[in-house]
Amino acid sequence: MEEAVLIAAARQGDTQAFDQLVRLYQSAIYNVAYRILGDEEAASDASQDAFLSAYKAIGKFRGGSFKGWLLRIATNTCYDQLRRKKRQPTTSLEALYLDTAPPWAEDEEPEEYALRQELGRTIQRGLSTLPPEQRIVLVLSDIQDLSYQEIAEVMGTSLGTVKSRLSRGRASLRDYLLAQGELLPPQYRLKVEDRT
Amino acid sequence: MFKRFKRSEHERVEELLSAYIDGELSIEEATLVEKHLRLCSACTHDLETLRQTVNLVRQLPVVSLPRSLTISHLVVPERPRAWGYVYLRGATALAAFLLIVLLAGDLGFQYLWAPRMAAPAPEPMALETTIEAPEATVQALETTVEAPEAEIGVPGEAPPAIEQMEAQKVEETPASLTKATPPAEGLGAALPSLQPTPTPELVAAAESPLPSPVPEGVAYAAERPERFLAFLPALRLLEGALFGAFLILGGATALLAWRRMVSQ
Repeated sequence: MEEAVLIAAARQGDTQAFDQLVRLYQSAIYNVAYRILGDEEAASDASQDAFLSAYKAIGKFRGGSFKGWLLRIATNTCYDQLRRKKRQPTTSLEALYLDTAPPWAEDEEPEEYALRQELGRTIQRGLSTLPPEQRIVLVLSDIQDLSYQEIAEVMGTSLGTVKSRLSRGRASLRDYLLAQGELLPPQYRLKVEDRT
Repeated sequence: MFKRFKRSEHERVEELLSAYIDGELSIEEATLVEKHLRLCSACTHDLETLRQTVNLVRQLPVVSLPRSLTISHLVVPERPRAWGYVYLRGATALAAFLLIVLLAGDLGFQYLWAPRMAAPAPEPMALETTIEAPEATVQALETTVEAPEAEIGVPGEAPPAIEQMEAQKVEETPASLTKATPPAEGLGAALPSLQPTPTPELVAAAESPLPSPVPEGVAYAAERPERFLAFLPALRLLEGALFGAFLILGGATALLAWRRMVSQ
């Protein structure tokens, strides 16, 4: 069924129609939440909360990109969760180390799989060192492949803010990965020897 | 001067490298970056490592969902607002409230206010003064009432004062001795002048029909319970009606609440 029809039905309280919308976007929303929060359980909770909030607020959806609207709700939910976590720092970085990495393509060689798994963990730890605003922009840009304009709309900020946050976020992550160089598999190490 | 300009341009290009990778720069900015990159190896290196970083992040695989995120099982379907139930509940609460207020007022009056009004217990000193005053008034009144009787006495008997006066008159006018003036006439003429002039207090006391032995303030307060008692039957009727209304409304509310609970 067409997205607009599903949205119209959901506005009338049709939860089944909204569930179809959830099935369309749940993977994207969950992946964003997972990369922002770095934890499977927290990400699924935040995504579920975001969809529930979206359903309750669907009357306020004024057209445009539904995915963008959902991403806005999801990133706000994640942002709130990060702020709460910051106030109550009970979760240590250790939790991130213990996270099980997401499964990779099944046709991969075990060694390759292990290397990529390690790389994934390192990048995820690098992301978690970034301030929430930079992390969200980076995830939306480099994982969700949103344009600067779309990111500005999702985050409710200017293009200039998106540019500067992304620039600083990428630079910080680059510095983190360079510092972790020895831990990364050789083929994924950033080329530091070129620096003169 | 030249060095400072070069450094500033370097910093600016560093900031533009991220957007340069995404092709999000204006033509002027892109030209500036490319021109600078040809001269600055540090920025070339930064661009390269930044590009690798972006590529690594983009290579991150899609994470599979641990569970479905559908919401239909979490959303309780909204029931149409049962206004009848809401109003009924409000009416029951109102009836209960009014009943409590009336009963509290009724009981409070009967057991707290009325007994105090009926048997006032002022301070001993105040009681003495208020009670003594009327007694004095009564005594004074008795004297005023008695006075004329005493003065009038038994007809035919002239009071001593009149006898004296008559004697004086006789002495002054010996010619009139033959004409014996009956004492009653002399008394009648002399009475007005002999009547004691009543003091204003006594007049006031005499005018009041029956001076009450109860002080005035107490008497006024004692009337109030009586006034209230006049309304008592109507009040009891109202209380009964309210109680009945409360029972009916409460029963209906409880029934509706039970039906709503069962239908859920």
